[in-house]
Amino acid sequence: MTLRASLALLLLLAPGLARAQGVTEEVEAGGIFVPELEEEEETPEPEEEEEARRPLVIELPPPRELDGPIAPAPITFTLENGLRVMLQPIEGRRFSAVAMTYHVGSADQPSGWTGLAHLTEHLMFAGTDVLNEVEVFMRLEAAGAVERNAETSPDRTIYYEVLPSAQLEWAFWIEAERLARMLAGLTEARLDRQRQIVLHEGFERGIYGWRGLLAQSLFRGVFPDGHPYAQPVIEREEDVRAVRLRHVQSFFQRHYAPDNATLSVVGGFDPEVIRASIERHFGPIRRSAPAPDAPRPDPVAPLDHERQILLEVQHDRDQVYVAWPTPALYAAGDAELDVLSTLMGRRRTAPVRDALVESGLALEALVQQRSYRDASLFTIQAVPAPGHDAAELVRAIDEALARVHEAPFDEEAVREAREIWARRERLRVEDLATRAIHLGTATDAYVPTLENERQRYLAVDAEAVRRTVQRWLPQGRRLVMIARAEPSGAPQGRVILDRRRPQ
Amino acid sequence: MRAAAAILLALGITGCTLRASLPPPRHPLAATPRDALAEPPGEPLPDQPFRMRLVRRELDNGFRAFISRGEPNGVVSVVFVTRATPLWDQRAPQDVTSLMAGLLTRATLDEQGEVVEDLLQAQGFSPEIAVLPGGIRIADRVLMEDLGPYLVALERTLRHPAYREADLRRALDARIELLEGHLGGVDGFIDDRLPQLLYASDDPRGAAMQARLEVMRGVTVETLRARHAQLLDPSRGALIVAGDVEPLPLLPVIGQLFSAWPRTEGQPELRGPRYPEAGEDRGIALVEPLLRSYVKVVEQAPPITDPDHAAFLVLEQLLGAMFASRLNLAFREDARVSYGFHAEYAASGTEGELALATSVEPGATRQVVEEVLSELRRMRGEGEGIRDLELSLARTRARESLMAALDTSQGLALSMAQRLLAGLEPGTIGATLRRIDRLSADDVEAAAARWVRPDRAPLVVVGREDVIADVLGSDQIQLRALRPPPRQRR
Repeated sequence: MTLRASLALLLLLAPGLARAQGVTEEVEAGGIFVPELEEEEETPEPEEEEEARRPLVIELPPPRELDGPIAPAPITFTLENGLRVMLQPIEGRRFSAVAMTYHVGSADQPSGWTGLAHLTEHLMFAGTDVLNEVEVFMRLEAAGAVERNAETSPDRTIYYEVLPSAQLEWAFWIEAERLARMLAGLTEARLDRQRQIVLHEGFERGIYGWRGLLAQSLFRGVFPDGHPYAQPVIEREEDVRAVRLRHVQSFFQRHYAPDNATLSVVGGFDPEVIRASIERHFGPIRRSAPAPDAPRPDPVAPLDHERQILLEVQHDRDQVYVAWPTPALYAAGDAELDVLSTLMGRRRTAPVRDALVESGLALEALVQQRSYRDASLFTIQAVPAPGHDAAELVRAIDEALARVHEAPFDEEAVREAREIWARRERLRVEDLATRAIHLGTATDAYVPTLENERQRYLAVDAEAVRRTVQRWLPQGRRLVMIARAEPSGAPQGRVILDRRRPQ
Repeated sequence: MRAAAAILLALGITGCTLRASLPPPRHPLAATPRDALAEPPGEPLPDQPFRMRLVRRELDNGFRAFISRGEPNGVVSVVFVTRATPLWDQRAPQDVTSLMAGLLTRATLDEQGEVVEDLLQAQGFSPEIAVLPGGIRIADRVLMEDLGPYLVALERTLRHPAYREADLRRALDARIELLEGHLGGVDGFIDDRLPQLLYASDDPRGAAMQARLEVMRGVTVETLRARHAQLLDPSRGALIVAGDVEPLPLLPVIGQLFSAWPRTEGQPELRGPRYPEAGEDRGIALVEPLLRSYVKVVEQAPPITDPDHAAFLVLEQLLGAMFASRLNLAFREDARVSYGFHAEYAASGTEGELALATSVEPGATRQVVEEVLSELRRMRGEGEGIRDLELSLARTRARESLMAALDTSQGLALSMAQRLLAGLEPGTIGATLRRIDRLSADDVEAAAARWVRPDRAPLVVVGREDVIADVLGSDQIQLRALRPPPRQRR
């Protein structure tokens, strides 16, 4: 191994990168773009100085009224090839975020092909017929991208960039280029290289060890047999090693198509200029053949049994999970369960937190609704404190849940919790990447703008929460998973017990 | 047998794994012709220069307020900082300060002397408390209509905490338990040992965690109250408000709220670190039965007040904060022995640290360590030195990372807080940006030569027994091998 090769790689790229580097050169030449930070001091008028010395009266002028929604609805259009585009311009921002969302994820992998979606994601960074294996990253960095990455979830694969708005076209060019021409540059050598990197990532993150087993067991224990989330969505090392060129080609050709993608752009840009640029870069990409029928799974139902899973993990502390299948992202009940997670776990007096952490039974406890496109999981997870064991924690969780069933949260408590969620949507107004990625989850029926999301939470009331608890968190019918710590155990972990107890 | 194998293959069975056949594709290979696609971009689109409008006021007690009006989006970022946190004034003081700060928002005395639980959180706020080498920072984002109530609650929280025995015991028990658990693992071992290697033995920054645990066990409510009185002094404090806010009407409110806060005397000054003398043992090899090897190097680095700060922001990129860093390309793309190589430079008003880390295939461990040390030498200008193209990329990344932080009210407020904690004016952010753009390869190499010491850099390598034996065989790497006790179930 030597640095010489990577240096050669850099030099090879020099002419192309120099173009993207124009910004820096212009700055050095004292040219067009100067990122000046100008500090303007506004010295207060004398009467305001006086005002500051008056007796204490804590009163701010009434805040400016929100005139309408938090942000205007995004500009939405669809190119002839089926690519859905959502633009959310924000005046005054120097940066913009681009998210290219492909509506395919690890749940779409055929049985036995875990890792195929993730490996394909990596190959999208491995060039095209005119970009070599490191140019995608490097051209984006040369354009000033401060974020450039991708995520593969069970439902989606999202490629995103945050970069100066003046350089937005580089993000469009890269995204269009790799959608249209990734396969044209795909070789065995590129596949092998990215496979190796994916494997390194898996080892580094512990996916192929007990952490992967734990995550997979959680999905398998909650979702019914045959559901896309019950099959392995966590990649396995042997599956990644088995992938061949034709498998990637087939997967890519089936799922990476303009009409299976959403391009969202949020930030400081002129929407007319950006629309024209998007049409120029993405418009020529050919429309694919009609999409094959891919029926979505039926909505999940509450479990009719208790599932018990006992794992052994190479760790020093036990972990406890109690989980239920719950409605999909944006479906009825999803917002209620988000609000419920706050009611049950946020404040010190919240039932689960009080029963586990404040009582001293647990070091940590977390209540969470994890929402996905086709179904969700509501989980309570905790780590026992010294002197206490997993069984005690499960009993305490059961008792806390029984209290929630018997004495539902009142309107005031629900109002307080839903306000936290509604407020969170307003506070996200500055988060460019989050907003762009969020827009990529839009469906035909629902666009998750900040305002729509805020309204979704504000509509939750005490009666809806009560009904949701009764239906979706039935006592006894849930997954109880205990990860028993065994520091000298196998790195991969093992399943000791997996059984169903009809209720 | 051949027929059986053919059947197995036809079924898609390889090894012991049953794999389904893949569904058919939708469109032919490389459907869009090359010449149909647009060319790479030419000129960039028009850019917007950044302007920060800043209003400031200093109260009679020395408390300072900085207000910056930003985007009209209904959101305001509020950051309180207090400098002169004597993190290093005695053994384990960071833990005491951290406990004090952590319990600061837990319970507050109201005007009648009654205890109010979670005053800020009860109103739906989510303050983030950080204990940093330069001080304590409390940051939050609030809606513009909540700014008044937030400031009132914040002032009450800061000045009238109700430290209680039961809260302290619970927090202490959990903290000690988690810290002891952390110490039992490889990460904890590294976190414990690296500061001891980086700092002189009489510098509290290098205190061993066991010593810190002993101090923590002796903490009382009175300790917390004394630390609070010592650290939360208005003359060391500042409030930064950025976002959708009118500065001038807000100034008198801040004045009314914080001017009644009495100034105290005798604040301890922050002291810079003490580093070990040359010749001391700087490296440790840990023998652990792991699937991967881990390599971590921590170097001395300039504080934010040092003229070399801008050069280190660029050096951070060159060494591993950008994809195009040569070490990342070498290990990830060329040799394919790692998922990536990472560099992180953190600086306060008194000190800085540059951390380099990666996890690698066991067989490549020795070469990786040697390459890292060799790259540090190149950064110092030894051998071929820094190339123009990589410098250009690194400067772009360093500059845009700073600029991106200034693009939001939260980032702007946190950037200003970092400067204030270091005793700098907020406007010095602009000077750093301009300095980055002017840096030459010679400048960066000279800065590296002043701080980076490849032959003495504190280094930890963790790996299998045979891997460590191989690393110890290198004449470039001086390490002391240790075998940590096996991890215990807790």
